[in-house]
Amino acid sequence: MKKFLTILMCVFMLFSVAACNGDEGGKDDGPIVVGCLQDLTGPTSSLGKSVLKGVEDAIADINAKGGINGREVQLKTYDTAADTTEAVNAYINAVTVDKVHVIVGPPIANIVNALKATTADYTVPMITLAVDPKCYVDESGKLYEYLFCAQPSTVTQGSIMATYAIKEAGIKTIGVFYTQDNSYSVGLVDPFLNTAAELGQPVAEANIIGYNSSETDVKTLIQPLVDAGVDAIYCPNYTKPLILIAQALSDLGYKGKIISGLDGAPAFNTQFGGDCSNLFFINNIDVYEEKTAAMIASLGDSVGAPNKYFLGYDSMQMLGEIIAKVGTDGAAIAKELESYSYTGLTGTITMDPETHMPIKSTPMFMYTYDYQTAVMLKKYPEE
Amino acid sequence: MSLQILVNGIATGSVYALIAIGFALVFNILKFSNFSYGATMTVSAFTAYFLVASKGFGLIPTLLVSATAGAIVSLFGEFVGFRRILLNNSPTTYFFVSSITLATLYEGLVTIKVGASFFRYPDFFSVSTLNFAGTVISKSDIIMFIISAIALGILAVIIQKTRIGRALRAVSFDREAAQLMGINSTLIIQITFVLSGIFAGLAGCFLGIKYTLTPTLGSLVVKGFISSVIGGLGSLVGAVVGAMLLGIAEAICLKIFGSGWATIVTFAIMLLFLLIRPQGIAGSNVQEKA
Repeated sequence: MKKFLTILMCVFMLFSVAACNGDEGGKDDGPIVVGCLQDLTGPTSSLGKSVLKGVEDAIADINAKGGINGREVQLKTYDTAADTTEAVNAYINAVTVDKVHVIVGPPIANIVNALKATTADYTVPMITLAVDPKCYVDESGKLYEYLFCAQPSTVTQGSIMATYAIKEAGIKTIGVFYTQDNSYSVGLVDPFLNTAAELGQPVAEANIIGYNSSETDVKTLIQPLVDAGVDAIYCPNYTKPLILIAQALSDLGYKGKIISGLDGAPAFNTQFGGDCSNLFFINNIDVYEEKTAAMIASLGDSVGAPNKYFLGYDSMQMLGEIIAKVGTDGAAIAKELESYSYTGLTGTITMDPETHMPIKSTPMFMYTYDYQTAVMLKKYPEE
Repeated sequence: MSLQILVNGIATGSVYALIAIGFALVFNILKFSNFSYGATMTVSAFTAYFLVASKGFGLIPTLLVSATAGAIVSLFGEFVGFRRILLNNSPTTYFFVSSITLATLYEGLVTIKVGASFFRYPDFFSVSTLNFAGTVISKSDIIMFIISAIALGILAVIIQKTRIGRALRAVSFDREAAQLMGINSTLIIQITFVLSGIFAGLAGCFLGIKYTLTPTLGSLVVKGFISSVIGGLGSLVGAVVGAMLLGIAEAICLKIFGSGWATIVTFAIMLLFLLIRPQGIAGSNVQEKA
């Protein structure tokens, strides 16, 4: 045993030496190290890879202009695999071993919820795309100092979707079908219901169905809403369950509308593969805006979820501006970020120091599809 | 930089050690891998959260309640899931099936209670990190390491220095012979499950602090299993050594290969052990027993 253990320890030491090699972050005069913590291999990897590509392109653009205050920006990539344990381990590795200065985090609420308390242990700002406001506060409602979001919250988005459905699409009866073990999905339910009630069309309790993501028989679960003959079913779910829901509704002969969250945006259409004309979804980008349209065209098939690409790009550019202004000190970056206003590809993102999320004036857009082609319907807030 | 990797690895390894030791305790006695151990961790951690932590009590009460809950759940599992199989001298496969069934049951019950939401223990420490010459150490990691070491030390004393420990070792080597020598093997097995449950409670609580509380928390039992394989299934010392090596290996792999590959490399290490040294680090002694 002793001989074997000795050999094993030698192997470990060799690997440890190998692990010592490489670039070191954390220096005041060296490169600025940016961590990008995304799901690159798990079930939400199409979103994570899109964010990463946006961050990569933003860094390439920043470095092409001479870096930040003459310092090169280096990217370190970390894979959460959509797993909370992997995410926490990767985060700790990023801040303690690679000594990243800032992190662009994932668009997955469950992961950010798992990471949030750990961010309090280290003075490294992380800007994520998870829209559930609970991701940014502790049990007592106190904000996590170093954690931010670059897109409007579930409160804003849920309210916009209900407003559009009732005031613009003329929908009278609505069912709700959400994933009750998903923080993002749950977070989008109440704002939608509250707005619907305020607009005089409350959703009947019997037409609200929550289910666990492990359930496989979606048809049986959603059948009561089809039987109720609702005009639209609100489905704030991730892309994969949304595809299953759309397929199940199609199989059940449902003729009404589906209202989805951000996950109804492309790549939903290509992954679903069929006619998506009965789907309304919310999005961060105006695909008709000249620069955005040109970038989407140039990206081609390299990005699965264009809205996440643009959010990743804007998040990185915003962090770049702030670092140029205040340097790489984590506390200084966090303080500046709290009320920062940045105009990028997704519009003007103005952070709210009370929530660490953008204020309501940050633009969002309602869309539908013409078969497979996304068609913008309305911009919010209205101008 | 390597010191930071080592610190991160040991911090993770110390929690893995708690998982592995509870896992190894049952394997030592009954010669099967108790996969309900993971779900026991989950139930214990959530029990402590709802009864104690969420009401503002500190770390120590939370750990005590979690350990107690673990012991009770583990003892319940022994009675419901394994006692009859043991008395009937049924094949080991039955133990395995029963442990999987119990795990599914526990996890399902927790899911119904918490709706698969995410929970976090409140912050137990006012100062979160310490910095020693550029090496950042989380205070919670230090506390977890110390408590893990104390728990493992107490277990070592119990096993090596007490009558119960001697009886436990006797039963692990040959249950029937021990029975003939006047040892109440059923009682010893119950005690083993209680000890294993205590470790499940501690591990569950620590995992909840380090990561987050979810109904699938117990899936981390796989780390304990890998640690046990590396250390030598059934060997308590091997389990601790294996857990530490696994924690450090993961930290090194994270640095060299990145987080996506780290898990794959970890499993590759386990397969390598099964291929070239199936008895693990502990060696031939365990192989004879297993």
